[in-house]
Amino acid sequence: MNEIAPVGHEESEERPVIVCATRGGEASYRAQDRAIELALEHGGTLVFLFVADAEFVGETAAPIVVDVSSGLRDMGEFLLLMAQDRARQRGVEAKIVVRSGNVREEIRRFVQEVGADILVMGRPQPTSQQQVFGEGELTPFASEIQEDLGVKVELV
Amino acid sequence: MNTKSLNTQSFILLIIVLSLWTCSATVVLADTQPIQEPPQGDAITLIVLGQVVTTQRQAIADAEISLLIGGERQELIAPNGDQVEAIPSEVDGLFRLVVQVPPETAEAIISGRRPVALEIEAHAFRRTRVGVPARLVAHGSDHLYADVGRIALPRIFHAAFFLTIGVFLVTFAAISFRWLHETLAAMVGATTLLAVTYLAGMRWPDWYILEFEQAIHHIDFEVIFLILALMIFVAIAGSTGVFQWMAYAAYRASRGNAWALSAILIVLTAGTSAFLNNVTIMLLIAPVSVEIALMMNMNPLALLIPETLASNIGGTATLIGDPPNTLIGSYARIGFAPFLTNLGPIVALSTIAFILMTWFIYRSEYGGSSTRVRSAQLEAHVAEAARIRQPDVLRKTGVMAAITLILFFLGDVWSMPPAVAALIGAVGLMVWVRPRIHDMIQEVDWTTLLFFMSLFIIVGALQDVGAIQLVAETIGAIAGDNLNTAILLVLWVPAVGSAITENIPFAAAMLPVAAYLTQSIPGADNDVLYWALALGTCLGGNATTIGAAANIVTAGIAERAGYSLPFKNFVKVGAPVTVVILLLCSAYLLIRY
Repeated sequence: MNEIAPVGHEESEERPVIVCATRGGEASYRAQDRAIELALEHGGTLVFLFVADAEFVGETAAPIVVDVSSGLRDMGEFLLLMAQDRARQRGVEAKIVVRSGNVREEIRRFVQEVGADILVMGRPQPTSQQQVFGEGELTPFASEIQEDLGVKVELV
Repeated sequence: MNTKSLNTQSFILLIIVLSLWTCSATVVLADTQPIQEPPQGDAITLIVLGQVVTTQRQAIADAEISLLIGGERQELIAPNGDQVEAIPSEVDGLFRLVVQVPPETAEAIISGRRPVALEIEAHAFRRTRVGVPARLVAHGSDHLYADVGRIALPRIFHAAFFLTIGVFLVTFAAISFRWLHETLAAMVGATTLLAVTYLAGMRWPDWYILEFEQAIHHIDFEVIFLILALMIFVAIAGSTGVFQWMAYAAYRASRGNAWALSAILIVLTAGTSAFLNNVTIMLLIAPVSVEIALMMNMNPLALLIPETLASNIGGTATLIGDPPNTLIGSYARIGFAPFLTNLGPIVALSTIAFILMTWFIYRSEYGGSSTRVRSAQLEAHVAEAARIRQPDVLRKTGVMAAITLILFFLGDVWSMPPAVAALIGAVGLMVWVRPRIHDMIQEVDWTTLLFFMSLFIIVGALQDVGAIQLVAETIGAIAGDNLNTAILLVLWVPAVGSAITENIPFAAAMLPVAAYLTQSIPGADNDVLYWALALGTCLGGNATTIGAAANIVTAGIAERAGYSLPFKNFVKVGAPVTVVILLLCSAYLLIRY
């Protein structure tokens, strides 16, 4: 896992930090591709972020007696290794970070910690049943990040 | 505090304890003293025995029975010697009425000049008067004796009846449509029934549903403790990484061949789900399966969906594989071995059929997969994630699991409940492994146990007000005396129900129905209707995402991996698989039984 230290303001002006909050699947590739393009364009530091969110297991009364987060984190790291591979093939060395918890809160927290300049996120698929961001929720979240943290958000 | 003072305090404490013990022993002895017969003299003792039951032949406890001779209510002699107007029936519905009558009255009873009748009152039942024919009255020198046998009371449909059904349906809907968490929904339902009884039912009998003691009586603690013990096993086994290792071992064994991999994973998942909770297995195996599929350039859903369907199929095979089976086994007193011998064969056959169906459904995915992995780094990551973390704990878990399995089989011979066998195994494992006990207690999913307890109360209330009886009699009327029709009804109706709603409440509600039909239909006493119910409720859940908890969590994991699983996409696979397997089950049940 490539944890990165918070980037200072002077550094960020020279090398912007681009965070791509992503999962796997072809639907995420658009967001990853855009993040890679931005990294090439600006010469910035690219970080792929996966948030392991295990809240869905609470929806059922079936016994949950094992550590679900750990498996999701492993899976997330695997997905980010694939993203890292894709970036490397285009000449970009990306870092990968996996966090656990609520997706919105962890994205916000991470963006703040590393002093990100650009946040890239994919739009939810209409067929998705268990979306983190429901219809109409992603744009307000993006606006919130932009206004509160001064981070440019690109929705792909 | 000095030694002398400590000894004095200990002595006083001992006296208090002995006094309390003596008092309680006196109470116990008083309860077990033989019924006091009235003093001998001119009076003749009349004893009337019988049993109060529902039309489903289930015992009615606490029914008040009074005795009339020649239309006049008699003073009965209670077991403690008091004179009372009515005697309550016991838990098993049995009653014993004792009354002293003058010799001339006894003569009149024997001759039929003064008819004897019983008047029976019970909540949710019509007040019933039953005559005791003179020919039933046997007589000795100083006593008369009559055994009236079973008296079935007809139900009445009052406010409590409709309210209870309403509460059940709302609870069901809240669970199915996720208005509330399942446990909260069930607790709200159970609490509502109790609240109505105590706030209204005690004053207005039409609103009487069930009292707290009855509610507790309805909770099947064998099921609760069995699930608790199995949770402990799964928690300890899960911590070793064995399920993830199994998935990776399947990949290695298949040498990257998707056809072989899917078959191996289906068999492994079905096999482990027969003994351990299938939701947990999917939670642990699904993330690694996603990684393996992506390594092979395959859509992860082509492995995840077959795995979750296989987990539901495999869980049908044993008493402990799926909660509906656990409910059925406890209710119908069916042990571990009968479950395995009756359901094992059809589950094995279904698994083979399912493998073939999977190959057909996912032929393009499997055909397009790659036996060469994307990168060595990715495979190394999967291998690391699938490593056994605590081999020593795994070894101990395996030993205790084997011992527990033996105890399950022996329990059928020794009349030991499966819950006891599971507790012996789970506690033995904890003693051997010595996990942090606070962590282990926290690992127990209390929300699940509360869900089951609340559900038992709700279904028990449905039984008490006669709703289950109504359903049972309706199904019985449709089936008539035809066992084959009954088998198909009990298989397919729960299957359809389980496809669209939670299967656990459905199974709990259908159990008394299956019991009624088992007693009333000729040839059903081989438990075939319980097997049909098990197959229907467990396998029906495969048809839709919401039909089984394992499906829901698998969809959740797939979503988090970026591979959404819309409802209709799951149904496209799940529904045909379910129909085919249920057809196989129908043939199996009709042929074998």
